[in-house]
Amino acid sequence: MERTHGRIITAFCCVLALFLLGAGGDRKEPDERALLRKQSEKLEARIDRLTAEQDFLLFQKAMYDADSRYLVLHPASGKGQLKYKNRVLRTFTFSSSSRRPAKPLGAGALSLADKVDGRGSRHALIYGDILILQTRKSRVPIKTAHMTRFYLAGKDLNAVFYAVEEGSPAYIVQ
Amino acid sequence: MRQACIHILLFLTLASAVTAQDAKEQPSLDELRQQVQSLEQRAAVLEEENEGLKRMLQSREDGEIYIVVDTENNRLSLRKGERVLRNAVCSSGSRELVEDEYGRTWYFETPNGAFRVLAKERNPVWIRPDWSYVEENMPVPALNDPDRIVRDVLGKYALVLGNGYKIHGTTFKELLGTHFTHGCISMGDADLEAAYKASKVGTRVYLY
Repeated sequence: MERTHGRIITAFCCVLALFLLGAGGDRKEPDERALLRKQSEKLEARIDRLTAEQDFLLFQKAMYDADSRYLVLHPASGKGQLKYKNRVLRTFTFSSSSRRPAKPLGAGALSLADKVDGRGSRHALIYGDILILQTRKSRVPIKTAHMTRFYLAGKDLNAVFYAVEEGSPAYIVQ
Repeated sequence: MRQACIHILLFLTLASAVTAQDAKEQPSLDELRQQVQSLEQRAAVLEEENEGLKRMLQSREDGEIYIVVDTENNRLSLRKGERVLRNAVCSSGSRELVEDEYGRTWYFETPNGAFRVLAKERNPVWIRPDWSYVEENMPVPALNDPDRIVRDVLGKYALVLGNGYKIHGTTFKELLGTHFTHGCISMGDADLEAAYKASKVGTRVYLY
């Protein structure tokens, strides 16, 4: 009698277990959920790209209407441009510092905070508190040690140094 | 046996409760579909806006040749869009100061900024200004003195930028590439001819 009773309980437990496990939802649902998640991740990445592109386009539009020379810097290729409105005044190359900076350099506009007049290819341009354009010989303040450094050739930096003013923007394109 | 079954039952109840809780925290399928749809819409709007901005920026490209002068390195370039058509050595202001006995001063610097070619001249004539006499310790003649008219020192061509500034030739070819002028931009003959032929009245000139 007791054995039969035990069997009934075991069978009931098995049925209940199957029922409870099945209660998690339709078997198709996880597949679709994963697909939708993947799709939305892709879309979010695309939106990030388009937002960054729009930011740069709006910057160019603003600079077209402004009366200021500005820089466009592309760290990945090490190429830069000095521009005025939609005109390229100068193209130049630069190399980045090998040391990892404390603050990573993201895409966007920076403002020229300070011009360090070093004379004889020793100038430096300090953008925000994050980036310095300089030559290998430039003398820069010690407080800038944490910043990202872009090294330009002397003649390029000389030309750019006198072409931009404090407050002039530089746009970092990623 | 009974005890074992109770344990299994308890475990399964707990597991199902956890699963149900997870399901509650996750967005429903409809919510996910809605999220994807709204992201698609946002991406489409951004794409359309960016295309509009690109078209607007493109419409501002006039496709014209323009002149750029790097007064720091004494280099002139003819450019069109992103392309450099010609690079040339030039000379710009000496950055020297001259003062006469009356306290008048002249600082020979090439101005920075955006200009346009206001006129094109062939065989330009130099009308000597006062400072050129002061510089050579000569008496300054009257404004209409014919001695002020000097030919064949500005080359075959000149591009007039206004306020007395021009892009012209020079007889001091050995000084090209240095700061020696009185504010104008001097060029070699062949480069000057190329700049003259490539530009027209209205061509933009950027000095920096």
